[in-house]
Amino acid sequence: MTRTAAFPSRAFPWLLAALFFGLAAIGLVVPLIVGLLWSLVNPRAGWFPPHLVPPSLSLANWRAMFSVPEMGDAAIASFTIAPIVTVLCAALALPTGYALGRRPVPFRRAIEFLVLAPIIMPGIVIATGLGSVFIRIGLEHTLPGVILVQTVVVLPFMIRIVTATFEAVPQDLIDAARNLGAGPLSVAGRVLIPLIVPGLFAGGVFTFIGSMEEFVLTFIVGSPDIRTLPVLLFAYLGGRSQIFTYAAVVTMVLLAPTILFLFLAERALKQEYLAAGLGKM
Amino acid sequence: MAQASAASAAPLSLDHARRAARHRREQWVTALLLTPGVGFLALFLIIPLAQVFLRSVGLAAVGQASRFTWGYYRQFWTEAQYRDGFFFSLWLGAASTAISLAIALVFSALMQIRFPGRLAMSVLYKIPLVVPSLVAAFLILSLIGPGGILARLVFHWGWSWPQLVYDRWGWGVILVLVWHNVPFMMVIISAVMASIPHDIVDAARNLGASPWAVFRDVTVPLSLSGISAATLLVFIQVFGAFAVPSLLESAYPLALPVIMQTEMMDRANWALASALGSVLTLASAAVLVLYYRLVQGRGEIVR
Amino acid sequence: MARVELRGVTKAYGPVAAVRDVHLEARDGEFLTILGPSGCGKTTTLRIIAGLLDPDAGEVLLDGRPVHHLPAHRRETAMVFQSYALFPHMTVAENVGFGLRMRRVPSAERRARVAEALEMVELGGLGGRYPRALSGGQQQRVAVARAVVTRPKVLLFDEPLSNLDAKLRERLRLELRALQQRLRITTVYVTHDQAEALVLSDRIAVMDRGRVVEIGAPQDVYRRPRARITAEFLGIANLLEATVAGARGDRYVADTPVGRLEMACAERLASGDAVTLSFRPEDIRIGAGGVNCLRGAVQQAAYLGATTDYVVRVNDALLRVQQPGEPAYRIGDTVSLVLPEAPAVIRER
Repeated sequence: MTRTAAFPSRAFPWLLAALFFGLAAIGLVVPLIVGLLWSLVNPRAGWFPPHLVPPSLSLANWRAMFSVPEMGDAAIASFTIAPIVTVLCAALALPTGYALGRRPVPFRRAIEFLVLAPIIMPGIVIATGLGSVFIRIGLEHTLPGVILVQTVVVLPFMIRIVTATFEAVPQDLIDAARNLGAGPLSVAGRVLIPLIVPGLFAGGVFTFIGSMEEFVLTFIVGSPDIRTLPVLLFAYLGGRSQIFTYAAVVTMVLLAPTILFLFLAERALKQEYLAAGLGKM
Repeated sequence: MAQASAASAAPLSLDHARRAARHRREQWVTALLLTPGVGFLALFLIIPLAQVFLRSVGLAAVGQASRFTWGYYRQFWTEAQYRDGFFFSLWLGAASTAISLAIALVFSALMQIRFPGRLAMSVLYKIPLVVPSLVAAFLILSLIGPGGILARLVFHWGWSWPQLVYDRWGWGVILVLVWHNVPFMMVIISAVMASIPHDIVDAARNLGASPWAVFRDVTVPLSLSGISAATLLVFIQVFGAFAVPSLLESAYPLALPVIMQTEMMDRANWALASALGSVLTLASAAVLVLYYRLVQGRGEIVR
Repeated sequence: MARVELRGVTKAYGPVAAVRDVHLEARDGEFLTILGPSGCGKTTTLRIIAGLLDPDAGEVLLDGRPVHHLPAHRRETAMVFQSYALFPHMTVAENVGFGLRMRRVPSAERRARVAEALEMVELGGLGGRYPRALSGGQQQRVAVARAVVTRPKVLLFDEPLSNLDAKLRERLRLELRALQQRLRITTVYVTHDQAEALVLSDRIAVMDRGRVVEIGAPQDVYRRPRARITAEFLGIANLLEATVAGARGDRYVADTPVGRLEMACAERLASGDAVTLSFRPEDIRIGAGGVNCLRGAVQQAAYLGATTDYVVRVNDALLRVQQPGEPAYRIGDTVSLVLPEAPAVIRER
């Protein structure tokens, strides 16, 4: 067989797969393995150049999670704040998302722009403003203060996703329910809410991850009293005293829920929710 | 005749009044529903931003006399460290956006082709999307840093590893930001590419377009809406990025957000930080306006 | 000018074979139509010729040279798509000139050829418009101009008229026929519209379930179908299952559900052969006399303007009969029918 200049040749898809998975191995798997190794380094032996693998492994750094107070406190802070922010966002976004998605709204463009603003504005600028306001009203370095600032930056994702979900409910379904005798409350409870649960779930995943990862605002408004895991990671990686082993442990603790969510909630990351959350301007 | 019309007008106007009342009531309901989300953002976004602008011109300060001044802006422009910080942030934004875009374009197009394991890959490539940028910084640092695994590997073979982090041009910063933003751009761009009808691509091939020509003349022009949106979002985000530059940049120049943080937290100079923040915001807004201009110009042609 | 040949081409999607062992030839300058119901594999066959699909087995030859290893963009075929597939981001002139640009034709010559092609499809002066500003018929013409401007060896059409309304469709198919006869480009045309196939083609290939069941000139496949599916798909056919009861020379007697019929057949048949007889409704006469005269009751009468369609029950069989003019019989009337003595004899049941 003369297969000289075949573009969609039989081998091409396999080459492509090799390219993609090769890059994923270098860009994703190797760094994750190195990170994991760092978290398992025996602090007494260390892991100094030119060793390619740590000379000895131990769980000592993971035990530090419980024995070093700052790490335990940061984990508790992160896992307390994220659910509260998620619930708060859902409560705030549901009515607003309904209004934006299903009712004629005056000044729609302006409201949409307001909702978009925290997504595209530099976080440091919002932090500057909120920081100086919170100092004035005594919310700086407090848990409520951190919850409020995180809500400012993750609420827009929730509103946009919930709005898109409400918009996508076919009017026919609501008309059919009305036609079959459902009042406004039944329509809401038995038709609308069940139909938007997937969107709410997706929004919740976004918000939870967003809150877990939020750094700039938490750092400026919360530290040094309130420290979440990213703030602690920043401290371990920052110039004065790099503690790679602890940084690796915090990294793994931060990564575990997000990657777990990514696989559990693969459905939640459907293109349309991602597009609603991030893309469409 | 006149009587008849007057008689019919009375119930009509009554009806009209009732309809107007209902309309007003509906508007109140809408306003009530909007209040939680929009009200929250208005309270915790607009007021603080107003505070930023006021403080940048010396007003609304706490504990000291308020006096209007352009001095902080003058300080930004005359002192080299601030001006250089601005251009350094601009450079980081431009460089990492350009590199991310080039990579994301090619890989989004390749993702449109069927290959074994594509479904798994479509989940896998989104992982960096949910990885915090600080974690990304740590992972890349442990890979390419001075004591990183690659440096050690290269050392084994007797070569020396180039300085990629803490360097003048911020290549380490750019690498982390690219790693973080390529998947983000790919999500948006490949969604748009997937919506291009197959017939259009087939027609181009049938008319003699090589794979590269199809990419250049058909795929990219038809994905411009997604490409421009992704570019804009990434640029603005990197331009205002604090965490990654703060960890991986050299001692000079510092990115503008890093300078802002130092002014706020180490020197409590909120007024100067506010002025720098305003500059950052205005520059981002300028880019945004430019984007809408470009998109609107395009929108008339395509679609 | 070129000759296209498919030899044993097979293509499967998963376990389902879309095209099975297809042998087909379009001669130099010929207009060949592939006709068949949706899902019969005709579009797959066309895409394999264009190189947009890779066959699993078999060969595609152009002028006797195998081309199935060539990628789509090196195959000198030009296709007109069902959706037209005009590039929405290019003007009409840019669309038409795309193929020339890909072939690196100098811009002066390109402009001249684009103008000529647009003139040919009567769209001169619309070169600066965008496709979405054109009507469906105009878009279709742009697609045709875009295909012919590259002077391809083979023109491929994938149901190009199916998105147009009936009137326009009728006019455009005459134009397409005239254009093809003027340019004499070998053409393979895919459609499920039998009228289109009859009007346009030099030869028709009938496809069913991934196979080519019959190839022939329009008159041959219409008047003397050799497969049941051809008779069913091309126009209306009354199909009667028959058993040959006796023969005298080239005349036969056959038993059918409507009774014993006499018929002429050029082929040799033996007593006891099971065949299917196909009668066109316009060939059945209402009236008395002669051989093959049957009596039946009118079940339906539909007035179609130029003709009237009847459904007549004879024994347990329903026959469709077409008569010129207005309805002359009412439902329930008993009529006598005369069946022609030379039906199409299909050697399958």
